[in-house]
Amino acid sequence: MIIRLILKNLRIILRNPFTILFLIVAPMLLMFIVGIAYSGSTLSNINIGISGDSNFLTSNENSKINYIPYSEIKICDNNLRASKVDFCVDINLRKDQLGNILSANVIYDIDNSRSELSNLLVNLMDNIIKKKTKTITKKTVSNIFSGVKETVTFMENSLVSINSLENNLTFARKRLETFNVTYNLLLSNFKNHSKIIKENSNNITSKINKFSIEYNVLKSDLIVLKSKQELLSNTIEQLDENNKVLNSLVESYANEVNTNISSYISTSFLKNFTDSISLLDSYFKEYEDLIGKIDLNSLNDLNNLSESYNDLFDKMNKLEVSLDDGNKELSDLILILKGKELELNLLKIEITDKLTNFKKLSSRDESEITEPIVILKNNALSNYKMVHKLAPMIVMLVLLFIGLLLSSIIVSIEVNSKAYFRNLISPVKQYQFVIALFFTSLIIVLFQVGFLLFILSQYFGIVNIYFRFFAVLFVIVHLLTIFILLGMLIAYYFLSLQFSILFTTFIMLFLFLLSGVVVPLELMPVAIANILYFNPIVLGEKLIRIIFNFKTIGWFNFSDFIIIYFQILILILVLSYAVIRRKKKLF
Amino acid sequence: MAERTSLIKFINIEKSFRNVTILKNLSLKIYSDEIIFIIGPSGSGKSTLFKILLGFYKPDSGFIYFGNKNLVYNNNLIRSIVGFVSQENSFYERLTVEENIIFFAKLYGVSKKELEVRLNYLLNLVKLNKYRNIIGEKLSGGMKRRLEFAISLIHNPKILILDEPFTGLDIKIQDDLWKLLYEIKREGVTILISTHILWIAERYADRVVFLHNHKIVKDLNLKDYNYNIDLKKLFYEVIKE
Repeated sequence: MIIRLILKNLRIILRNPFTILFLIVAPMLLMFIVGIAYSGSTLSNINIGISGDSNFLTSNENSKINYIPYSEIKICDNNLRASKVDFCVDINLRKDQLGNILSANVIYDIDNSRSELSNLLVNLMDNIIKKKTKTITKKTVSNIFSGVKETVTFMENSLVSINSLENNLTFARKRLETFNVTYNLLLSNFKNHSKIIKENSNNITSKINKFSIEYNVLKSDLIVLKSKQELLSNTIEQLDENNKVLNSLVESYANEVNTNISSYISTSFLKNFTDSISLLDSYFKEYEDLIGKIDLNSLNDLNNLSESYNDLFDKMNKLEVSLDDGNKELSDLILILKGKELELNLLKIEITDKLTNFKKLSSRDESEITEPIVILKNNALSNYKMVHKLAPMIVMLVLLFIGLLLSSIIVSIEVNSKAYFRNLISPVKQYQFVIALFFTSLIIVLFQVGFLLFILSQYFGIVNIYFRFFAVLFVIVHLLTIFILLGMLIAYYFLSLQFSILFTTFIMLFLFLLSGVVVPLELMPVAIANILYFNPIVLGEKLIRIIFNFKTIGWFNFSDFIIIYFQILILILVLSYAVIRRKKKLF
Repeated sequence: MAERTSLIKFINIEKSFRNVTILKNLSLKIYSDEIIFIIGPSGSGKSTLFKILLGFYKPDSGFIYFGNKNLVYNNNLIRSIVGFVSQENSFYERLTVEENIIFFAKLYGVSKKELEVRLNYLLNLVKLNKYRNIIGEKLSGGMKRRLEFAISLIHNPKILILDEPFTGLDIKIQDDLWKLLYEIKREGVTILISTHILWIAERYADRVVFLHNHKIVKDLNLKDYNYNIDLKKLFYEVIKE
């Protein structure tokens, strides 16, 4: 009997297309869609705001992440609180002169009210940063190794240069040693000559002294001689005068006088003349005496000395030539040494450069190499509790369950009641009944939601709903409008209360499972996620979360409301069709 | 004898759904102060005729005149002159008797002043004055039907349509309702009834209209038969033709 009853039940069930739809097709469809939606494993449709050195991350090719540059992290933070971006990153890089990144300070601003997504994003960013860290570390280490290699190459080249320098210096040293031998020889020669010169100089000095004395004597003699000579000159002048007188006398006393004159001459003039001659002789004698007084040895000495000097001059000339040669060689060596000095200076500069580079490596570099990127994480919400995270979703689920189910039940009861028929034969327009049903549902649901918010506010202290009353009311009324219209649509479409409730439950489950509560939308496949962003729970949860958690006027997200109004419009149109259809079915 | 003035006049009404003819060239005059039974086998077009009269359907062709006004495209006029009592009670069981009447009065735009008078009148008429504050679901079967009548009459219609109003009711209730219907008739309301219960028609009808094959095949004034006619026999004769 039980088997018969079961068979009868199954037969009835399977003959009802709606039952088959709900029992078989709907769960399969739900599982299929949910299965696809939950099959994602990578994040997509992520908006990450970046301030600071934005190129640091944006250069990272990841088409599923939209990087939005901001001039300041604060602006990004405001947009994070308005859910316009999912994550904020501020990057400050330290670069070397060549523009290579040495290290980075990274700040994450995290919306911890969306902890699942935020954790995933932190992991994602950490992975990107990890790669960047590797790149930076690799680059830095590579730079260091490159520096070391460069230094080694430089050292090797320097070694060649030093060897060459050493050879050159050895050569210069040998040349200088040779020069030194020559120089020493020259020096001893010079010393000998110097000694000779000194001796000669002494001789010359004594000779000069002697000559000086003699010269002085001679000079005084010459003065005497000069005076004698003057005297002689005077005598000669006198003689000349006398001679003139004589001549005139001659002329006047020609012959006669000759004898006289001769006598005269022989007497006075000759006497004078003879006296002068004798005087002159005496003078010459004196002069000869004086000359004789000059030592002939001294002249010989002077001659010898002159020869010695000449010899010395020859040697000195040779020495000069040698010294000139030596000087030239010395100049060459100086030039070589100057060149080497230059080389040494260059070597020194390069070594200084290398040293400077290596000096730059400090204990800070060690940490920078191993951990070049320092990350600071800031939570958008301080003192964040689990209930803060759950509150928006709880409110949304209440809105969904109450709004959808209650409106569906209210409308279904009404349109399935016998009295509803009487409404239709009254002169009142059909849309007025629909509007009245909508507002009836809205009032009831608002009462329930208001009660829930009161509880959340009073006992959990999550939301100060009074402070943001109109914002909360504004958003809730919009979302409720969608859910109520959807519930009404289901109620009008299905001709029985049972199917309305069943379908409403299915829709609720569908919307709930695909709302990002279980799996964040950002983890779902892009195509599915793009559709599910239109899920009113997703929109509503976002708006309510912003108002509850961030107390910001940024809750007014225009694009979200455009979607909401669009959905409302679509629902109104479809509901109108369902109402007309229902009326036709009724009659 | 001068010809009676018709209250509502159907002229050549035709109606079909998806190329299936439901009413074919139907013409019918309904007069004041009469109880008309529309009788016919299932699918003969009774319900369609009522729905056209209630304004739910528009005829494909033909006219319906109320006086000299065409009702076809004037639903407001139709609904103000037509009252309807369905087979099942069509009031809100969670509202009281008074609340139900007031609610539907408001739907029909009855003024507050008129409503007061009308409410008391109807409650007395259907003998529910004592139960005016009782919620609908707590009323007995007979009272519920009487409330249904009261609601149908709230806007003072000229014509009252009853679609199988006695199905499933016991004899006592049926008698009570007939008493009520006579009262209503006395108020000047024309009553149009669809039923399969032929003995009731024999007993209470002023006029019986047979519908068969989508048209009126008989239109009998029972007065002409001294209210003594075998409608069952006639019914079988009609459907045989």
